[in-house]
Amino acid sequence: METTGATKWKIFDFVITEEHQILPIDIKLPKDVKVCKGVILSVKEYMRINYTDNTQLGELSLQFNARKLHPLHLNLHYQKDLTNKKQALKLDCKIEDNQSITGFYMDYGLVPKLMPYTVKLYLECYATDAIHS
Amino acid sequence: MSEIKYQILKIKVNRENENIKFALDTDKKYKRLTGIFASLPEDENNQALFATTMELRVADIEIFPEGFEIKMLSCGQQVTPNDRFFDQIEQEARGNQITGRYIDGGNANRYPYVAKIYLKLEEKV
Repeated sequence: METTGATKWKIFDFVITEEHQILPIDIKLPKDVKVCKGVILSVKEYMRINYTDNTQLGELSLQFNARKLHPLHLNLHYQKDLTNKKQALKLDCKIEDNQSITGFYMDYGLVPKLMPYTVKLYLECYATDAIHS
Repeated sequence: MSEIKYQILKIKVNRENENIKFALDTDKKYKRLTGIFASLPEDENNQALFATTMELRVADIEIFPEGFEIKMLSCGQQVTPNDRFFDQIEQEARGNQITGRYIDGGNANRYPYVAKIYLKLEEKV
């Protein structure tokens, strides 16, 4: 069987509605995803509050392949300044068949008046597709 | 003769949260699409970038899925021109059609505005 591969982005949104909320993550990736090459964390909303840039909002922990790999425990910063180029943080984790990505996102309780916000998790994946058999 | 071309796609956004479908044929004289850069009006704090998303397909192959934020494809003037492009892309150009959906995030300081999407094409046939 001949296969081809390509980069595919997978995006997952987590809505935070309460201070100090801990949100469990359990992501099932499609079968054709073989490698998680990198990750980007982003806050969707424009927050009309007087934040200094790079305010820490919370932290994300990700585990791969039935918790055999724990490559990431990362702070999420709210970035008002979008003038820098965005790039994925490299991971290069091989994804075993039928395994989930698990973990959690924990809010630090620093957003005033419980302003809900959306954490966007971008996974830069390498996926293969069977083309001949 | 230039081996690189920067093809432009202009998307006019008339109102908050507008949902716009677009389509464009890549220049058939170039073989490869190797980069994308999004330029939006530089209003206060680049607010137009927040929550704005762009789904993109080339020859019906998904490049950016639904919910992909336009801010991932943008940066400021302090970044040198050759480094501004999102370069994790390698697709055949040669007239292949680019299709997509631009959804405004409702945060721009003024409407209408024009979003400019630059496509970096390489290898002139």
